[in-house]
Amino acid sequence: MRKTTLLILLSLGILQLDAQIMLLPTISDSLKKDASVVIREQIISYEIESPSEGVYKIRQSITILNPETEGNIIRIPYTPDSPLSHLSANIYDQLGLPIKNYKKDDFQDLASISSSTIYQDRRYKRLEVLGMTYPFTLEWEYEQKVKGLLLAYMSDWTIQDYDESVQKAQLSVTLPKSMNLLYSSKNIQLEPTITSTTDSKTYHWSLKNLPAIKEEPYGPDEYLILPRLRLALDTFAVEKIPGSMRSWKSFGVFLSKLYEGTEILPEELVAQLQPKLAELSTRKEKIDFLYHYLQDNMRYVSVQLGIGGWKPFPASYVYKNKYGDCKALSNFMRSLLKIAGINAYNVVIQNSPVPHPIDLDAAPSPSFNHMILYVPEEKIWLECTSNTDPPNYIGANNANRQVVLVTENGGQIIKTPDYPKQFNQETWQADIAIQPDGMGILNSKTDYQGSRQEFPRALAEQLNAVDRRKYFLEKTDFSISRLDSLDITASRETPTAKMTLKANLGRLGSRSGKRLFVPFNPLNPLTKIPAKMENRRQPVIVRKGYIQENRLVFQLPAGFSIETLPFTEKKIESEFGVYTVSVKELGNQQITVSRKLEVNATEQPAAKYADMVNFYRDVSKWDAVKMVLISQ
Amino acid sequence: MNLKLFISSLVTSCLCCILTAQTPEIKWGKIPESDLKMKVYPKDTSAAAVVLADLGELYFDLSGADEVRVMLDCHKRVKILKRTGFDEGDIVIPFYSKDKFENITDVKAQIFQPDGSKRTVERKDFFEEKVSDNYTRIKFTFPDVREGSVIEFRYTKAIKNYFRLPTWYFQGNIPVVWSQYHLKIPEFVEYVQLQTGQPPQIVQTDARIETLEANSSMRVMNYVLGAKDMPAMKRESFITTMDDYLSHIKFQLSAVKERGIMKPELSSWPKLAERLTEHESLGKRIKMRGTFEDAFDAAGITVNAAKTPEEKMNAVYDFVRQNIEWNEVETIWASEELDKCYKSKKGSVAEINLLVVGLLKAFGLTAYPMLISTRDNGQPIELYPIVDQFNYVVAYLELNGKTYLLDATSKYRPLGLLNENALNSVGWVLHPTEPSWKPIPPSNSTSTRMFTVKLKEDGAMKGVYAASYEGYAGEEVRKDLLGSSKDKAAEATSKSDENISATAANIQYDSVKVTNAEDIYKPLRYNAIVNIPNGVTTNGDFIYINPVLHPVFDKNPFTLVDRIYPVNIPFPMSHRYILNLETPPGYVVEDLPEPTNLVLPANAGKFTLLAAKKDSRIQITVTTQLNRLNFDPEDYSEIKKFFDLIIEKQQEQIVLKKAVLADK
Repeated sequence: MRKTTLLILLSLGILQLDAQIMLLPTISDSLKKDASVVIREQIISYEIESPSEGVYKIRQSITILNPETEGNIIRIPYTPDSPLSHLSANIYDQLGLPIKNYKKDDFQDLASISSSTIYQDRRYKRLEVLGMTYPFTLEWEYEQKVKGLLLAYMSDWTIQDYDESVQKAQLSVTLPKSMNLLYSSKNIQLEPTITSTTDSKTYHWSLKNLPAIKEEPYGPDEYLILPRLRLALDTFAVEKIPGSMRSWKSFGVFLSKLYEGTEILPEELVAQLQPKLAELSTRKEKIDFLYHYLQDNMRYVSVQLGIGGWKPFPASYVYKNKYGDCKALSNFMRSLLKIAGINAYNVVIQNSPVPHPIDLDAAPSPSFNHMILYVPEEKIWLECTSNTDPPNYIGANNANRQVVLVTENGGQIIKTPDYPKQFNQETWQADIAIQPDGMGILNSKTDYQGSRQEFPRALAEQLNAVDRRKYFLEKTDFSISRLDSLDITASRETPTAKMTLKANLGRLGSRSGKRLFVPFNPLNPLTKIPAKMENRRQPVIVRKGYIQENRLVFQLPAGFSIETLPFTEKKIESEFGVYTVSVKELGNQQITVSRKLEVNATEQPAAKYADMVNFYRDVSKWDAVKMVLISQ
Repeated sequence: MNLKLFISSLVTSCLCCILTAQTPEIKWGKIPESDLKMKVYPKDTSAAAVVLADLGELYFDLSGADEVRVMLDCHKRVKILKRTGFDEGDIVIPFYSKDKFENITDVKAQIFQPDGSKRTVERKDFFEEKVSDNYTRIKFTFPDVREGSVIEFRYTKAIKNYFRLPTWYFQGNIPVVWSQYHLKIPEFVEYVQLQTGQPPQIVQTDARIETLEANSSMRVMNYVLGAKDMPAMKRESFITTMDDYLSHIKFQLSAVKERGIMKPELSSWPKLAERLTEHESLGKRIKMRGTFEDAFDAAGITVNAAKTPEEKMNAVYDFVRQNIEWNEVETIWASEELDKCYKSKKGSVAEINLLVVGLLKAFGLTAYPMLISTRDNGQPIELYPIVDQFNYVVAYLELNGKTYLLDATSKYRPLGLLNENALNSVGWVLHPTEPSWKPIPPSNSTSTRMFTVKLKEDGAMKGVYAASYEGYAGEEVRKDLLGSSKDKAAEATSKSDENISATAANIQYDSVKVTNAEDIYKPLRYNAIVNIPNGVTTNGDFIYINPVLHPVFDKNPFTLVDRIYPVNIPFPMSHRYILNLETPPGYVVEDLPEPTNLVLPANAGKFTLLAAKKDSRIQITVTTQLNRLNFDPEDYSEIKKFFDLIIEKQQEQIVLKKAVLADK
């Protein structure tokens, strides 16, 4: 999708080897525990020659213990700017005997997978080792030229991934005396030893015997769990533009320099928009008008070649081609707002379900992949790659995280809006007429808001009527045997959508002899729950809160009466949410079932994990309950 | 089946069939006013875009030294009608670039707005992306795409091969107004054409003298095939491949002129067999034992100990299955020597199964490769020897009057079970002189699962669970239990990785014992102690129990209300479920699920539910069987209803009631 990957993903790397018998010390049991891969030895060095050039070298050997890992696949990303050399690999069997040696040409050379609307020059070398008996050992090495922003940000030393233990690892950085290295260690205590010569200095870190860490579901982001060493250069230069990574502020100063001169719009567009803007009185109206202009005329296509990964294409380019990537479109929108005298700022952000937290101490480590826009005067956020989202709705994958606002005075850390559960709602009002044979005729109206409206909005705006019906039938939670009508509309102004639905649900009530069993919640019962877990260590985090409400009126078939309503009131309350159901007989063969599930976005201590499982298990249990009707 | 295949040959003698269909005049850059102004495509008002013209012109380039190149000029014009059709403005042209086998040149693109204004895509906006060592693609995006735009692009593709001509699709996922394939075939070659789906019209055939080389002229046959108003086609589930239904046409060389005489080229199956038997990457691979000597020696340890031919066959199969991993590549060409594949422990389906054939022969059994077109690849074509159709190989042999098909690409499949994608009705046995088509009998997927539990008055159930899986069900469960997380990840792409099904979570399995996990020839058995704290609903005097604790299908797999294409299910299945329930003391059975026997016409499928009680014991037996694999669209409602009924019947309940104590 939207990409600006500022962080290069360097896969771990090697050994310069003439294949010899590999006499490795045995692996201790403590390093085998929870591990699929043991990093036997890793040696990484950065040799930085100047603020714009350096060399990255890695040599690494790993032992793969079992098939529960992709450790048997080596992936080494590169770009034309950062070519690879001295690439080779060896495999050793469980006795340490060399099996095979691979040279550069034995690796596959592949383009980073991209959709048809993304043009980029990132590639990777790939080698997959198959058919070995476990355990076996893989070693590889390469060198890579590092330039530009890749050098400036440097790649963090990620040390270990989940299910990997480390026997021995070391990293060194050599740079001219005139330059400064910024570093800070996370989730581990690491101090460098520093040596120097007349014109350079070398930082050296090493570590031993790190046990494997297991990933836990509903846990914190890996940035808060896995050890890493953050690295950055105090001063650097990219295409002659100098910059500093000393702080987020200086990072922002550099970015704003990259954006300079990109916001000039063609006169004809300014002339076309000015009269309409003059008719609008408030800033909010102007923002909405311009945002809709953007949505109606431009679309997302990404071109990221060379510095294009960081520098937006000029606003005039977007105007001419009617397309751009997230940076180009955000920057174009910023330029449009400028015509209306409204100040807006580009925001670099990580678009993902789970954002990496931003560190405020030394060595900022940008891991952004996206850009949006912020208008401080109105506190309005704009996602400029969407042709359908309403103004000031940026979607769950942008919400509630720290981002860098790029101002003329440098970078500023701010937070995107949090969409609390009250904001993300789904409310069903439905009449369900049960037929004597158990068929259910549904007549419903649904209101969606916030994150809950993303799916119906996509159905409404991205598909034609034929495909919409087809997709709806495939994706809906309940089965439909005849769809009489489906109507979905999404608001242009607010993050809301509405759906009306008429359908035959097929045999809703199952029968046994003279009884009909009708579920209280035939529409959206909770059927998936978190798996149980022993020895939970990490805190429990639920990131997206929402409220889902049903107000159902069941019309019972003539000749049937209620034998059993398993309950009339239920309430479950926990840190993880609230669930209430209330069932009422209205007489006149009618029963109402009001059900409300509130899922809290919350962070709880590890000990609460079982409570979360219990909460969802109870909800799924009560959601599955059936009333029993009996024919007279 | 509304699958239509036609074979005919493009030969000079059919000059008589010149037809007079109207060929629309389509010139680069000349867009008719009506197309520019079009707001809706009247023949499909829901269409977000429509192909106005898709033109191909194919000719031979004989100017190169010792090299014949086939040239294809393509020209496509698309009208964008709605925002949702903007994606049509993103163009990707892939080609096989290895050793310059194919090349794309002269790419041009332009876009027109309804007012007639034009913009050309600039040279710098075409991107060439080398996808892998073999493939390259050219990508570009039209600028200024709007509702109402007409986009147009063209390019020339050069191909260093004239055995196969490029396949032409007259249809796609958006409607097509006019699609036309013009072939200019010089007189020294002849082709057969294989046509699938709705046939195109023959617009024109004639012969004329053209200058193909600097100093020689020859007669060139002109064929123009055209298709008008082709509707959009969209994929549905449970289908072989959309290629079986899209209108398209393929060509294969049928004769080459040598010294003035047309010599037939692969015009019969035996001729093809002869050619493939001698082919470097097929027959030759298994001919010389020397090229798989290491594998032969290693296999000998177990094979030589085998006494009967059947035991030998089993030993060979097990040896390959356990020693070589499939790299997921489907092809009939073994690009590597078989020993090389044995040593690297991985290989394509051709390398793996040709090694099976080679070893079987080397150990004195008579075996042949069987070539298959997989379900994803398309229906097999028996009408004419088209080599291109095949993309999968298995080993075929007959022993004591029994036929065996061997596919060693999975270590979890017992002998006789093929990759389910290979279950595509028939395969072609590559006998060097007497090749033949033989059926591929699909194997079953069967399971039996049984809960024997005691119900307490508070609603908790405790007892034991015993299951056994065979055939494809056995493979699937073994993969789950023994396979790497990668296999599992591939299966679970649509599932949320953090959550599990609530139905499954409600049943606690302890003291789990798995038997025969490694011994794939025996049913996989799974035994456990079960504890189901909340399996029932209790209310007053009543206890309601849903007897199917673990259904095979919990949702109807057929979601669409109606369907255009036939349903095709890869293999038959038979699943049995048993619940033995002991009721709590003091309760009597008030109601049991109604015994049911649902049968699809012609024994295509069967569902039975039996309920029996004796004293405090209840037994529920549910059997689900699907025997037939193909259903016409007209039968769709039948099979959908069958599944609806299964889902419904599985929800029927057992009702227990507290016994009223007799007075004194």
